Amino acid sequence: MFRFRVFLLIILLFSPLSLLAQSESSEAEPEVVKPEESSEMQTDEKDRSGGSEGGLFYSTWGIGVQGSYNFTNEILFGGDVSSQSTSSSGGSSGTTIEVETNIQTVNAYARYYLRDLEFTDGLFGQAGLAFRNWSGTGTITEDKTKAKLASIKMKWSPMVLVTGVGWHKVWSFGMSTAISFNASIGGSRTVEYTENMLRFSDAIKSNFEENTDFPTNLVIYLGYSF
Amino acid sequence: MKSYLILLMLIIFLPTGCGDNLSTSTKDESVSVTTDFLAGTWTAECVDNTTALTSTKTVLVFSATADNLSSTSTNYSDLNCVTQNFVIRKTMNTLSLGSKSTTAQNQIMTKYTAVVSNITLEPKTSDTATSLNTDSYCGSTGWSSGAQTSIAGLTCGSITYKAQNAEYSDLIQVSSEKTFIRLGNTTNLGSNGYPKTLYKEEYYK
Repeated sequence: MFRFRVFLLIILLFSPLSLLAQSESSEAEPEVVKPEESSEMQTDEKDRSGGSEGGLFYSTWGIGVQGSYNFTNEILFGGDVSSQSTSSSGGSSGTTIEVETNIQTVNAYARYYLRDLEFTDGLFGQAGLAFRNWSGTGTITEDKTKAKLASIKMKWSPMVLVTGVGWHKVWSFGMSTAISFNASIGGSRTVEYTENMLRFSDAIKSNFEENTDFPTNLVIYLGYSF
Repeated sequence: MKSYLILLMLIIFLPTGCGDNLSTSTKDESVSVTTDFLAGTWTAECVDNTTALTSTKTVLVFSATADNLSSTSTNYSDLNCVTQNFVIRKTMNTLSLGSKSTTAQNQIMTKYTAVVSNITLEPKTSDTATSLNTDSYCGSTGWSSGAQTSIAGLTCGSITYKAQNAEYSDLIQVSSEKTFIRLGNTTNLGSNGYPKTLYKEEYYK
């Protein structure tokens, strides 16, 4: 949530600035552009229709590969595959808590780029479908006797709508980077608590549910455009 | 401008519509204690007391129908349960299993009640008997080695034992694999008369 607030703040701050920047430049005298700068700008701001790119990304939902195709200069179709397995162990008062989550996601999406304003070149909104194979387990055992005190099973719905906003920059030498913030909508999650020797208190349940909820996905991408 | 509106809509949509609907369920798979399960002999491991340089070993015997319970707790003058000091025997009848309960530490228990038949103390050596007589332990000076004396209803040291025919309320915890049981700490009772915590000893069949 904090990351989202920061991101939203950046967008809200920079949007008016970009308009201001455009307004000032329109009234100012034309700048003299050196030939080499001109060449670079032309390369950066070229029409991307028909182009493709691929790369790697790190995200809240795991590490993965991404590929995309520019259908038009404004519209891009893309897909990615990511995977993440986590296991953690901790405990107190003579008990050990072990939690394991496995997250595999296949994502297909369409992006719309805001090309009409210079500063916002690369700013995009996207929407798509994510196919998820997400599950998690947790067990609480007694250290001394190894008796199982309680366990937890988690399962997420296999399909969910994902929307987001982001910024994508392609350099003249082909490298490309992007950052985006996405949120899932319309999915469901089931948590099954099994009590063997220990009751789960409401506080433990809500704490666990908060810490295993992944409603948003921050994606940092690095790729190559061709 | 139209593009900005689309972006703005997405930004508004992100925090309001995100997340998975959560549904939860809780299954109680704790062991239901039965008389068949309890019937027999349950033995605890030797528990040492490094401060007093003694050790204790307790054996529980539930009758075939588990309505009688005999608890024999032997105190040793070493840390390895070798040389006996004294034995405390508690016998109870009319044992009745109650409902499941939860302690303040969220441990799942089964309540039971019983009626105290007798509680006795037997010094195993003359040295122990002499020591008990010197201290007027339980208010008595008639201790002798090998002789069982009832201490039901008496206060011995910091512990006041239940009187004969008094109702006895306790808890049983059964491990998830049914391999051991634990009993409540009857020196730390809650307002409902049941122990608030458990003894650490596990009893194995």
